[in-house]
Amino acid sequence: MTNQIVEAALKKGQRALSEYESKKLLAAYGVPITRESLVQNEDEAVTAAVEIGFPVVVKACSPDATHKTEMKLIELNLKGEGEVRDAYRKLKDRASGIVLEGMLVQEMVSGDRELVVGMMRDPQFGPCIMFGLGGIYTEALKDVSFRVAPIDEREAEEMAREIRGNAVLGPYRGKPPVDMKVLAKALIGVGQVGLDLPNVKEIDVNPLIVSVDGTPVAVDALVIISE
Amino acid sequence: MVSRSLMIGVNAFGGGENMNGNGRKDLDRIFFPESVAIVGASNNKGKFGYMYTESFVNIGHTNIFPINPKEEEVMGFKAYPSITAVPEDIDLALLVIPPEFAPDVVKECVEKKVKGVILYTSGFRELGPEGRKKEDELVSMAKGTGTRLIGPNCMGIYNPAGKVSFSPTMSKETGPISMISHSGSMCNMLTTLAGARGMKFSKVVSCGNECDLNWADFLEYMAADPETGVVIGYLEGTRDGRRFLEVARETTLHKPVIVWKAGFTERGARAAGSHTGAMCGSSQIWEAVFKQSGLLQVKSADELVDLLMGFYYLPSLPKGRKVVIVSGPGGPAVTASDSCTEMGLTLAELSKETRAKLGQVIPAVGTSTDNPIDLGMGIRFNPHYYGEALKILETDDDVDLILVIGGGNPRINAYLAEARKQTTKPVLAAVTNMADVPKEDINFLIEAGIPPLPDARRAAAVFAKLCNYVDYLRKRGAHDQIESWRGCGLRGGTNR
Repeated sequence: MTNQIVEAALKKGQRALSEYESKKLLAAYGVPITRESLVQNEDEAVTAAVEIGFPVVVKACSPDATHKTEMKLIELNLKGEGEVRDAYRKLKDRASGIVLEGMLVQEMVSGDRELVVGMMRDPQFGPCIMFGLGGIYTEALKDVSFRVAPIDEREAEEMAREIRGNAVLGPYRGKPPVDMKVLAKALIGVGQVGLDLPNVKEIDVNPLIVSVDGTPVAVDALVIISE
Repeated sequence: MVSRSLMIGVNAFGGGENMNGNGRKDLDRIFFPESVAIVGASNNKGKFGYMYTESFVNIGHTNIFPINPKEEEVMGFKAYPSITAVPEDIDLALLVIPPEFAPDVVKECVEKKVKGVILYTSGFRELGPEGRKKEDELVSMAKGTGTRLIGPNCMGIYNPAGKVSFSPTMSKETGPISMISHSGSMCNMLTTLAGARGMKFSKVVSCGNECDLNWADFLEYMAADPETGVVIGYLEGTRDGRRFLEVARETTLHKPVIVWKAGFTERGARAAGSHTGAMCGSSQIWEAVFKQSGLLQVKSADELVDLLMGFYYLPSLPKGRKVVIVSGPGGPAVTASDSCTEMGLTLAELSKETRAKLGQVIPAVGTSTDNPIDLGMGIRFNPHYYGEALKILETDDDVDLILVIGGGNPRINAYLAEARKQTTKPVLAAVTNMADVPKEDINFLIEAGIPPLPDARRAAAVFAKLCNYVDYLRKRGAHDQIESWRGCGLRGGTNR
């Protein structure tokens, strides 16, 4: 199977999809993503922000911007038009060295539980799905579980509850439990991408922030592709 | 069998063809060959060519063709200078020859339309890229011809019902256990350990480098084999993981499969390279594979044989994780509770009725009708307490598993055996100082259907794995399998 987004990116010689492209692809497979808009100028950014609703986040969007925090290509918690315009100009400046697809204006998801969902290819077993505690401590904690794709909802829930930090998935410190149905769809989805699209080498959705009502939302995504 | 060597990464070359109707029939002819040729058969007692001929003779095969240009006859069978010189059809050929002669002989086997060729010979893929090339050449020679290859670097097949064997001392008796192994010595070790506990085998396959027929192919064969009730195996890796997973998932729905997976650690993986040259794979992905496939993972020979006893001798599968500990001695009962909890079992709450019934049997002082049940010091003179406890617990619906601390003593054994005849719940006995208990008393318990383990922890581990298998069957919707299971070593047991 092939996919328009992936094909187009490969033709352009990209080794990864931009955040925007990645999220579009993954959303089609059931991964919950932020409401967002790719804009090409300051005015569009403001329109988008108003439509989405404040506070918003603005990010430089580029297939080369794989470590946005380190590269200072994100501006968070923008609460009004003025802040959005400011942020847009700052980012335009900082992103002058890379090929820019545009600026991504997206809803700001607040929540302090962060999860990671991924897909990698095992040489023996093919596409495998990964789940774990996410955010900046992902590599340090290594609290992850795996499954070989494809999986069903039951298997998805089982793999999620397997992590050592599984208490985080339930009602936790006054916050509601994580919506398992939504999370399961995301896990099933990344596995299915791996099975359907041989050009997708790896998927990294980090973090999915668990919002106040328990719904996990992918606030960033990276899809690595190859011929 | 072979010396340590480098671990070699491999590609997908060498995977066996998927089993279809024809494939299964061909394998039947390999497991039940009407004629066997042993290339390299010898009258020299120091050679493997002698040992293998002796193996077939001892297991009762009568249509043997020794192939050796230097011999007139071997062990009373007329010898021939080559495969093609044999006037009859040959179903199975065993190659006990130096690797440089293998290509010519395999060519002859293909010409002769031999169904299966077991390459005992080592000196192939496990040595490195040169060896791999030689192995690949053999595979291309045989591919698509109907001649299947087993090995190289393997011991081949043991199937007493088919009069096939790889060792002169193997038993002629048959049983419900089948085994698949990447290591020949593991076959010997595990059949011996299991045999010492009264358990018998149907088929054992040592598949070595699996240049053609591989672990998954044999698992698929065992899955459909009505003589196989439980499969055990030693596995180093797989070259076609998706097929392996598919076959495993299908098999475990019908019968339990216990697997000792080696090569988890980096050094383990390096050592494994000497057997199959197969890439052992990431341990995290293998953990996932175990969970998704229903394969039951063990990490030692004891663990494997302990669990095997569970499937062989216990009359039923546990319906849940609630365990009751029945103990003579008090201290071991407490530590047994710890072990059970540690292994993921829950201690059952005994109902008022159950406790009342127990209270009518055991004295009120120095005992407990709680869980663990403490039968008190009086068991010395009243061994029947054990038997009574078992019968009472059979009637309590909130009890799934019974762990007896004690047994070994012939008087207690007798009561346990008697109670066991009248009950169906899984019972294991943690026999104190088991190593010093006379063998006949241990065997008595085994034959009575109460597998004895040296301690509560090992017993709890068996129970936990049985429960995991049941959970897996439930997850897959195979509820009938759970209900209908009977210990496969028992008369009228599953798959006998």
